[in-house]
Amino acid sequence: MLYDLIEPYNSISIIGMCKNAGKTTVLNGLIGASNGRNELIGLTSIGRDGERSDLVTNTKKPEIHVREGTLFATAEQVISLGSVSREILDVTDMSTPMGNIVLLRAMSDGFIQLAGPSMTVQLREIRNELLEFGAERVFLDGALSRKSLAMPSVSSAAILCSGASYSPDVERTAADTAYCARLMSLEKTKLDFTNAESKFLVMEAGQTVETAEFCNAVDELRRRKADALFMRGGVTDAMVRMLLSAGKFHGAVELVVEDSSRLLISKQNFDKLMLAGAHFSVITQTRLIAVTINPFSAYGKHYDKNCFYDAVRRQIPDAVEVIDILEDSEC
Amino acid sequence: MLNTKQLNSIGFTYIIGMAEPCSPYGAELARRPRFYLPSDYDELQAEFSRITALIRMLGERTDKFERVERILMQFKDVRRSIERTKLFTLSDVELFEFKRFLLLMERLAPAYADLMNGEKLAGISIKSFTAALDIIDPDGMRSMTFRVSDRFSDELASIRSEHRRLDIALRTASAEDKERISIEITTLAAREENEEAIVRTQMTKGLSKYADEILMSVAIIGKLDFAMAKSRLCVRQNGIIPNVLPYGDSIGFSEMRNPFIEAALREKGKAFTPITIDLRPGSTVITGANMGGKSVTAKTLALNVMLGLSGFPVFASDASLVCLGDVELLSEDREDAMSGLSSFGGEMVSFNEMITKSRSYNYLVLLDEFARGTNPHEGAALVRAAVKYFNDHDNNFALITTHFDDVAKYANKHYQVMGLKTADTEMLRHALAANGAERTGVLESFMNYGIFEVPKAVNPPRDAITICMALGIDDEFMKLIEI
Repeated sequence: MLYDLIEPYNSISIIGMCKNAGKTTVLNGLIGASNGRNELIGLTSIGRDGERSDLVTNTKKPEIHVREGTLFATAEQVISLGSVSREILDVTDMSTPMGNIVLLRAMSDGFIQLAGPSMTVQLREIRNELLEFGAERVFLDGALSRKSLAMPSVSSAAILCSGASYSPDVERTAADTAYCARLMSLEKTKLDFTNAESKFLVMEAGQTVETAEFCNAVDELRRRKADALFMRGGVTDAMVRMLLSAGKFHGAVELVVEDSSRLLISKQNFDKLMLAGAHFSVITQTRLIAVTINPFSAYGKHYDKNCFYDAVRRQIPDAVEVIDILEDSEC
Repeated sequence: MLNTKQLNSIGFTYIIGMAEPCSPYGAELARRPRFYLPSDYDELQAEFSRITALIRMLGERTDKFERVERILMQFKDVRRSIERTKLFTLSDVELFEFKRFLLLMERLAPAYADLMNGEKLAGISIKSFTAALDIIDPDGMRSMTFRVSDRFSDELASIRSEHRRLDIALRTASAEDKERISIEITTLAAREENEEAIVRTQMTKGLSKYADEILMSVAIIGKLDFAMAKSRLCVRQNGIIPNVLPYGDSIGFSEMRNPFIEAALREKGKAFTPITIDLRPGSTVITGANMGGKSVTAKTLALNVMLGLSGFPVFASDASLVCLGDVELLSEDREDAMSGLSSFGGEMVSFNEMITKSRSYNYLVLLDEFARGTNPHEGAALVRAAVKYFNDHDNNFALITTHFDDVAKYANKHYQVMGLKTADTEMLRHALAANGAERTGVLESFMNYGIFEVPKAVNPPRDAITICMALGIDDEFMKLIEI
């Protein structure tokens, strides 16, 4: 099921809402499905993953199992922690606390540990190198709350993993997951900002005003009947408070950001802006293809799987699939 | 020796930064350029002969020159791994990098031979290490990847084939067989790891025999790369190779430039006025108007002497130099605040250190507006004393800029900044008759930044008030000036 969804994309990020959300289970499922179709796959992660027991919560967790031929990028010092026989393809200049990132080819089946680069630019470079070495599909394993992984520059599609380990309260988990999913499936803007030079740009009936200061942008927004505000870089709660305190918008205002990972704002503030008549859109869209759910908690408070499924399904866009990782045979 | 701040201000750091070696070995040499002392004269000449030959190659065989550069770019710093072969077993990542280095050497050697076409560069010979490469790549595949070969270990070969068989069996095994096979594989993987370590140890031991020779090659690659980068710099920035003598009685430059100041001027749409100067042992004095370019002359001379004696091209149409023990510059850039002395006190303490040292070596000493921080009467006396001192100790070359009177007459040579001397006085007066702000910019159109040699008795021009006028200083204030 999940494999059919990823089929059109050559690079897929897997992002977790929390530790033990079932990321590695999903990854192993996808690896298995790709192997079954004789695809040559490439793997890397942002940060570290694939340990036998979780370094944070000390719970047993699945390891990443690959087939002979698989390409992967990991830090020098964790190479020997895997069990595959390997060939070294390249040693990059990207350094991490665990040594430089090395590109390898598995020369046998077995387990590997992933500890990839921590910067988006580097991750993109690694992805491209894996594709150049012949990988037909690259999976990017995201570490805890590294939602930047979903940035479109790094992968063409994303899967969001949520699970009972996030919070003992099923409703809260579902709501926060839905909020994340909602951010990741924001509409692509129809407006053109390719010529924007400053950090902020206010648009009114095709006319534009640019400014480097957010307070000036807010002033402009209040004074005019602006249609849209483009914000380069991160959008924070402090900025949203300024927007809200500036008074009521004259009409529906489109707030445009580069991509959804730039939105660093709380759900409450997001909702308040919606109520005030604003809506967000992005320049480059993340294609969130599925949300996976894991009703099993590493801390003991498991959810009822149907209840969890319904709670998540009810709140996220219809275009996004919801998949229970314990149910889906390939995951 | 000039400190970092001074090297920045004269433009030395800027020029060095423009030489862009391709390999980490060349880059390391460029980070700390060596100052060639009189005892290193032969090495300095060898470096210049390499750069001269490479400049010619760059012009005549550009594509071959660039091919060598492209290979150099791929080198990484593997010196640590090479050193480690003597004591430790290299990891597979280290062996990968070692192999890559040796493969690049195999490409560099013929590319270099092709570039040189039978000629030789002093002290540079590039050879490949085929025997060492055979140790690390016994199958002779010469691919850019690395895996511990099982060619010399039957044990490793049999473990690997068994591992492979079990992998395939595991893929289709039933649940209960899976457990058993997995355990077998784990044991095999551990044995493979062990056996690989044995092979790696043998490889490392074999490679260690070549370690010293390879390290020497690395140093030579660095030298070649650095010389190539300098030859590129020379062509790009219109430099020349100076004529350096081990000892002699002249430091002379014709139409000398300072690309650092030149670049800053170009941004403002102005041009740099080339400087021709000839220093003899003892004191040379430069006098002239404020803002006329005395300090620029001192900095430009310091830059080109430092470059020439560091084995770099210099910027002039003609340059002759002698080897020196050191170059010292005493100017406003000196940091005195740290020592708790006033600027005058700091200057004098530094000056004292300088003359103490200069007794034992031959120096180039540059004193920019020496003793400007004290009263003109005693200040002039101090500068006169400095001029006399360096005339007495004429193993040194001293360049002293000042606008105090009666200094130059004690010097061996006297240069003066043209300043406003050549300006049409009528036109200048007309231009200065305008009001405050309208006068700004007048200076640039009338000032001549060139220098020329004048008789020793000529005193500095009195241009300070004219210059204030030209700077557009407030009229109310200007009217209060009484002379």
